[in-house]
Amino acid sequence: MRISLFGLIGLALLSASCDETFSAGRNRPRGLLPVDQRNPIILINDSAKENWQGEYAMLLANSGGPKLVAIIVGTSPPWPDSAANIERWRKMVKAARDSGMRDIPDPVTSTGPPLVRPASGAIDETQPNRSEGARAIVEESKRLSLPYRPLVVVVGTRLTDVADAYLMDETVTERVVVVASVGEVATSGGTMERPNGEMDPWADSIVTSQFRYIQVSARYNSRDDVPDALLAELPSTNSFVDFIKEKRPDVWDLPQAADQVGPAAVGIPDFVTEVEQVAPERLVAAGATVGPRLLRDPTGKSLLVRQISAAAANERFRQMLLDPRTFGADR
Amino acid sequence: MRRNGGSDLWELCQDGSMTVGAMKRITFMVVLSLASGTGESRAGHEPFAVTVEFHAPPTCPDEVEFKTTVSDRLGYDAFLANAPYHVLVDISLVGRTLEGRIEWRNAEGRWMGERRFPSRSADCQELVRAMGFALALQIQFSAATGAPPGSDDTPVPAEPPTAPVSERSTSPAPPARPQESRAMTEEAALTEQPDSTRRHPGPTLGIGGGAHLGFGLTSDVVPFGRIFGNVAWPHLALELAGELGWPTITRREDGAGFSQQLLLASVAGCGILARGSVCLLVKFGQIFVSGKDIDEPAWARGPIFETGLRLGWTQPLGRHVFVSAHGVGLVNVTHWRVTLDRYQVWSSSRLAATVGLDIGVSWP
Repeated sequence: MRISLFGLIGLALLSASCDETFSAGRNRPRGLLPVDQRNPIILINDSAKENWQGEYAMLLANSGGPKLVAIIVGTSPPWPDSAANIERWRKMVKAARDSGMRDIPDPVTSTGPPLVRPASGAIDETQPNRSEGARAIVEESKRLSLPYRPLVVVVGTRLTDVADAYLMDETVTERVVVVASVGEVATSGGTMERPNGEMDPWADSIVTSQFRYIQVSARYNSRDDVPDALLAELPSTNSFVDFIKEKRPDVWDLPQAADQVGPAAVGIPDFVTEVEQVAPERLVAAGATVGPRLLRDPTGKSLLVRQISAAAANERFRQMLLDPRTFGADR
Repeated sequence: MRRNGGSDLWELCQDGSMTVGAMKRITFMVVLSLASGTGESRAGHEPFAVTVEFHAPPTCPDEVEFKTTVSDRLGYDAFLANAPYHVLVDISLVGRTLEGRIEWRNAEGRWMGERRFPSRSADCQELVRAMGFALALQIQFSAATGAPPGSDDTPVPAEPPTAPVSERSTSPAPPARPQESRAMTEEAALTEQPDSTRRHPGPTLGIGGGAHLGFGLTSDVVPFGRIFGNVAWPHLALELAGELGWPTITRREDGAGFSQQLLLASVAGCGILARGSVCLLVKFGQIFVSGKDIDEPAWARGPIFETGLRLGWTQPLGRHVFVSAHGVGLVNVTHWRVTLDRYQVWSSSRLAATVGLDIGVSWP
């Protein structure tokens, strides 16, 4: 009887228990995007020849920007030679390491053709490539992603490996945000066509419908990053600077090739100047040659970068190259 | 008059504290008794003797020492195995103090009376000395007066022996001899003086402070400081306390974090057995949470309610000072969690515990 009484008292206390939730604060994004220089990134591209995507990522990683955790190198219609592509990336990585930069990962070759839309049109019935790049995304996101700080996959080529990662592990969408240099800005939103959007339309559909997706469709001329005046200022004893000087004539002056807008959008707070919420129109139909249109939608979970500040990128690139600390002078 | 003097003597003994004044009075009376020749066996009579049964905590003097105290006062060994009177001497710890008791029984084992000796301290040596002194005096007077030991009459110190013990218990007391009467008057005058050391048994009050370590109360082991006040009876105590925890900071992987701090009040009802205690404890108060190293730190507070059991052990340090060690098992009735960037970064456990030390003073 006494035990029952104590039991009742205990039950009463427990039933009277209450839950309290205290918010201790929050971090502000350092720009207009929900990801910034505090998020780790994976870089995906084909060639390293025509733009400064790799250089931006490496310099930012050594200047307080996003930590570069993997470089995945694939192929695309303009750059179909996997061996040549990986060789260029290896050369860049070696130059960076020789210059004193740290935490530069070895590039990884990823092999996999564009994904094929199944006849049913159901994403889950898509045959995965299970590519090296997709595996790296799944594994690194499990290792590094945090609920408040997801891994960012910065893409400057087709979205095949990202979609492939989803086909391997659907939960990857909880750990990853995709930032891709794809398509163009349109009046109603954005397109997923040239550049990069036309390379794997079904992957475009999978990524835009399943991932937190940020499309950067505003670009600038890559040659403006290393003007003649800067060349004269750059130190001559730095292997990475030498690499940039050597590469500069090959960089395209076509803004559509400027894949560095991806790492710049993540790592330079004032680079993105206009962004809007969008949603994919629908999954692409069989035989589609471009990805789905992104329509302006205040409730859409995707973001479209409509305008950028080329000057902000140019200045940051210049600062990083001229700052000896980028190359470990303070270590 | 004599009755009053005897009662005062008992009260002196009951104090157990043996102030200088009390010692003087008792010494005076013993000297008086010895001078009147009542301490030794009277011619033609067997010495007054008792058997004794002695119980005391291990920290007290033993039975031999007690008997020696009595015998030294009497001038002879009054402890015989076949003596007609039985004396039970019992000393026990009550809370943080000692209490002594002398119980008399006759040859048939019938209870004849008892005297208690509450002490204000844990000084057992002093208490045993006082009880031995009192027993010697009682034996002396019983031997001298023939009054049955243990009765209200027995401690009267100056009653002259007029008849065998077996008869005297029912005989009216004869007039005192002039010399003894004068001595009694002086003794009575002494014992009727106000004695500031006398007290009535009642609750003791205590205050103090302490520190303890809390486990499961915040994200880390947290030190607390506390102050308390209590009122204690021999077997019960009630305590009120306030405690403040040291702020603890918890950080997530990117360095952002939060601090949390507890400010609590507590009420405890305790059962006391010797130096140990078991308490039912209720704590209530506020938790304060604030963000650290995050872009937009927030501050929040909310109510906290806990309940549990506390086990304690108290060690007296002299007459008024004590230290105690305690361990507490707690149930966090309030369950709280902390978020950063809207993601939960910590939640309280259902169970918690503390271990700590207190130091305090008690009175009277």
